[in-house]
Amino acid sequence: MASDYNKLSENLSQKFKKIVGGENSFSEYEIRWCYAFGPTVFEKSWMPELILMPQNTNQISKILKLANENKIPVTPRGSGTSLSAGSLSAYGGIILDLSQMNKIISIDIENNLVEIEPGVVCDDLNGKLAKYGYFFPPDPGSSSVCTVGGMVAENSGGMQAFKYGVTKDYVLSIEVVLPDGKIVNFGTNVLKSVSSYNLKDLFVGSEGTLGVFTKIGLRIRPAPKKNKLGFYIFENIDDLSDSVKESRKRGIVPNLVEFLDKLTTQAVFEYLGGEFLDYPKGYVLLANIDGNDDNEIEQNFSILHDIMIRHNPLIAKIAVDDKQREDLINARKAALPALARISPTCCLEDCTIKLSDFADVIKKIENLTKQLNIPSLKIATFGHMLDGNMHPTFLFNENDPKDRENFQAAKDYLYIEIVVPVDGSITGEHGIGKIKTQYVNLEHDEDVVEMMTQMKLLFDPNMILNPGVGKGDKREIINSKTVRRLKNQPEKILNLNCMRCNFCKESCPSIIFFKSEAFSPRGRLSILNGLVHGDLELSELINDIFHACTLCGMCLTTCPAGVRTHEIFEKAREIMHNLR
Amino acid sequence: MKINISYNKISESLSQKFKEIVSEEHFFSDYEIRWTYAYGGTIFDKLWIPDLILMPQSTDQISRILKLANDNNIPVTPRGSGTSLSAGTMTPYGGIVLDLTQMNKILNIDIENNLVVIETGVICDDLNESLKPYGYFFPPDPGSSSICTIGGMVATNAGGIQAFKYGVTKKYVLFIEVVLANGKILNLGTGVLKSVSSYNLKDLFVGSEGTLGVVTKIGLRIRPLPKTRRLGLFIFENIEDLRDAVIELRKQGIVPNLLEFMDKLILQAVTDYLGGEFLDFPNGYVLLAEVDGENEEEVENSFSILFDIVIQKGPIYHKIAKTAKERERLILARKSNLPALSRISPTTCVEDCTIQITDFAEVIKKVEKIPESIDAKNLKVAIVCHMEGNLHPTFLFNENNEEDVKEFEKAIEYLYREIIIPVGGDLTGEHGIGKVKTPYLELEHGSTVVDLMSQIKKLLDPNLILNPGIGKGDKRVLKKIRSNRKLKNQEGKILELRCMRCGFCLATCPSRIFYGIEAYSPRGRLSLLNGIVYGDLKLDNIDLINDIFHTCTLCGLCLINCPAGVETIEIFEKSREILHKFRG
Repeated sequence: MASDYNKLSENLSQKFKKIVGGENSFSEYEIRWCYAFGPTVFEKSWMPELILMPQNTNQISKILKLANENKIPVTPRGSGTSLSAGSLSAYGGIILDLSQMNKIISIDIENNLVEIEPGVVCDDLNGKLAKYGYFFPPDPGSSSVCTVGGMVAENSGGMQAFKYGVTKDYVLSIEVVLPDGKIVNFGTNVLKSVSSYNLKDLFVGSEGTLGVFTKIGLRIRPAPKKNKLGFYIFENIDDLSDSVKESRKRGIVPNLVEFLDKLTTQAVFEYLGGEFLDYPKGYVLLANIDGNDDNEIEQNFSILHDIMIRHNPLIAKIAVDDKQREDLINARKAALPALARISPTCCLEDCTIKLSDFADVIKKIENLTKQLNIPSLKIATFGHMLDGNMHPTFLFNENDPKDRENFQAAKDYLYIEIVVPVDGSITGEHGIGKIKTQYVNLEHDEDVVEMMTQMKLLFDPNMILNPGVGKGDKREIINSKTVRRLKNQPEKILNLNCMRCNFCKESCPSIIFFKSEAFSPRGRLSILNGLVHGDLELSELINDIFHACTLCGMCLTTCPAGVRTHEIFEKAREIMHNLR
Repeated sequence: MKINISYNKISESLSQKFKEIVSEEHFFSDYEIRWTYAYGGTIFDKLWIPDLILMPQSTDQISRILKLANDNNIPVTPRGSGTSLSAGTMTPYGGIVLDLTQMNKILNIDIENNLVVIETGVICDDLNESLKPYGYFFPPDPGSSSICTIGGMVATNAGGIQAFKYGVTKKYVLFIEVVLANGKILNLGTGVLKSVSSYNLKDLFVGSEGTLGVVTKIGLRIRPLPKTRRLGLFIFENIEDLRDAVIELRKQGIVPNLLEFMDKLILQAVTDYLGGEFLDFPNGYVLLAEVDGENEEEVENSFSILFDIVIQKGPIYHKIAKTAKERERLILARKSNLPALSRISPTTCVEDCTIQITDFAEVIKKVEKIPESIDAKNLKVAIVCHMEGNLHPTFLFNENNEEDVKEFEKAIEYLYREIIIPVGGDLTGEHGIGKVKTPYLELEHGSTVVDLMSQIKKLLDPNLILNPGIGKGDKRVLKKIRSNRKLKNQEGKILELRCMRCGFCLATCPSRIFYGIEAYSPRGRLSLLNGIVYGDLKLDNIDLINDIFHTCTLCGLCLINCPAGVETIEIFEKSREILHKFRG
């Protein structure tokens, strides 16, 4: 499996630019630089050569055809929130930024159907549907900013997947551009169909390696109207696990049961303060029942609550009103922000196990750093308990070589020694991306891996589409093990705990206007990251990028890690001014 | 993409090799036995007789069978209970039928992990019986659930009457063990509830109708069984009013577990068949609606909202089931559609397509008018519909009347080409393309997609040995001989013609349970009689035929399960008498 890619010549670059128009194409180094940042360990060698922002299916078809003929890698991208480096360009080439193709084409409540372009943001769609009492249920943590196209690529789940299913369960049809530029339609916009091979679902979850989605037909469903939430803290992981098992035996189907381990709980309580400081330390379990009828919710909830109580929680609290429900649910939502404050780097892993293995797996994860004798690495685990989808989160410093080594060793141990031996899956919702290729053949037999390769070659013989993603592509990716050192950090300008989640993008007025990642808060922080590590030089463009910020502070309100963006940007401007 | 494949006939020595794999007792080459495997819920074709029936007992045997067949270019058609309504298990190219009904073990029920692991031949209702004590169920419920195998349901991605609320088979398949055409055994998917660690190859096999591999083991997700339900029956004079009621339910976010439509012809047939209180119903279009849930009050509330919405659209009649018994009776109106219809004409062919609900009224009107539009004299059409838009136009005619068959063929052409495709509908919601809908595939999907399907098929089954003739990945036009069969030996009117070949009689037949094979089932015996009275089957192997008829215990259980009310006991008793005379 060797595919030699070509570098983009100036001449070819011009041809691509012509397809999308000058205003939708970006080749400046500073802008490309920003597209190499995401919520995974930064790799300096993964720099794209050209950013294209197509406006329609036809342009994408032309781009892919030209790229395919010239063996140029193309990486499709939504909002760049992938936790598995799905939208980073490990082989350079073109980034296809699809965020501009964000029209909701039709909302058809009668047929329970919406048709959208791939760049529509998940929460935007749900905002529109709420008026009709309908919703599109998958709800990844990044729903405020992630595109539905990205969700289809990853087959995203979220907190309510056990009850409401994952993205796949809602995709009725897709328009896809294949690497040779062919536009095909898979699936049909009716609610039941077996009239073809299920090619549609082969593309769902294929992580942009088989084709580029340009239009999506989604099934929608009525939104539940009411909720009841319970909040429990357990001392003992076995008790917690037994309580959930028993509720399952009783046939209770909550829409949400979220788990926080002790480290996460402690971080969250310290972060949120207030009443949380009075709570005992332990494992948190949040359980919610939803529905349309008070009686039904009340009855199911009381069965669930009784089961919990019988398993010796240290504390059991029922939300009495919406306000209290919000407060308690914040404990789950605060997991990432709270953890992000502990260390400069915060990497969320993702795996699924059976509920019957839950307690043992958690114990093993808790014991992991001791086992490997790497006490400087911290692991905090939280996740979606009902489907066994856990997110062990590793806290360290990506710029410390020892930390990175430890992180790698811990990750290996997690998948190789803990998850795979209990027949778990190495990813429940984040995808294989460019970080888990080496574990794919541990979970799947060689014949399955081989069949994936054959599928890949069938659709993408030159392997131009999102190369480096471990589906159908067994190549080992070369990581530059270079250690970056802080060089220019005047007045500690760069707050290092930006997790690069991109939650700031949604509200930033300047990215809405200037479109490219570089003009977003995350983009600016990525540029600063380059400047302080001496990888980037100051330029006119950088000056522009920083001055296009309105200092409105909206990004600060949506930043889970509490990065004091406008202070940083103000300071950065001052320094740039002085330097000039 | 040009397909150029020629299959080999099974030589005597090759036949021996297959026999060695499954052993003598699971190997059947007698013509009479093979003959019965050519009958199913579609028009009989004399040309479609398999050459060999194998009844494998393990994955390993299947792997060896496929490898040997693949090396020798022998077609292999996997089969569960043979209830396909699209000829999915018939053998237009002959070759081997892989009868998987003996691989019917439930391997593991794991409530904590919401997981069951089964062999492919487990029957849908049997699984649900085993899950019931735990308060769990496997929701897909095709009409044939009493006899269809879950392997077959996976192959066709079966739906049923509760699919709108609970989803189709695909939603519940977590993993499969599958044997590829070259004998390789593959495990696709995982036993956990959420995974994106590979291409979704599992769901490529679900609904592939046995054309990509033979599914041997299945991991299914299960879910808690709802505890209570409430049903109402509404009759509308006007199809638009009924449609508006359904659309309003959707707008209000009501999700019934069951929402079924029956047209006027069906209500008439059902009334004639069931009598009783049905005789008081005015004729019109029927909507059956049910709400289920965990809690009496909740279900009561939801149902009353549903009721108010439906009533506002002006039905001319309504009845709410107040007791479990009343519910059974109303549900019977839906369940007896087939029996009631099958009494009207000798042949009943159930078609299958899906449309958007907004097109419902126009489509129904057009379907009702098909006989008129194509100028058919004998053909009748009745329509049932699962109200997610999955329509079953059911054609009534006589397959042994040449004129009738022509009308039927014209009618389905018209249905798919002129009615369904133009509204962006789908050729099949749950029955599959099978060996009956290949000509329409490109109309719905376009040539690029059809070509991609061929490439996928080629990738996994390069010699096209697996279930050839199914339109998925195989565009070849099938040869049919539909010769005009004439009754020759019908002494004492022995054969009642209205057996629909649904296979519902298979589940309880003691002799079929003992012998395992189709020929020893009530449907098998009727298929043999069918061959005999049309003069296709000679009584050369009289001992075998005699044996098949004399192993019937005359217990009459098949009669109870027969939707068409075929008087099996009488027929079999009479046959024995005649066979006795014949042997002298």
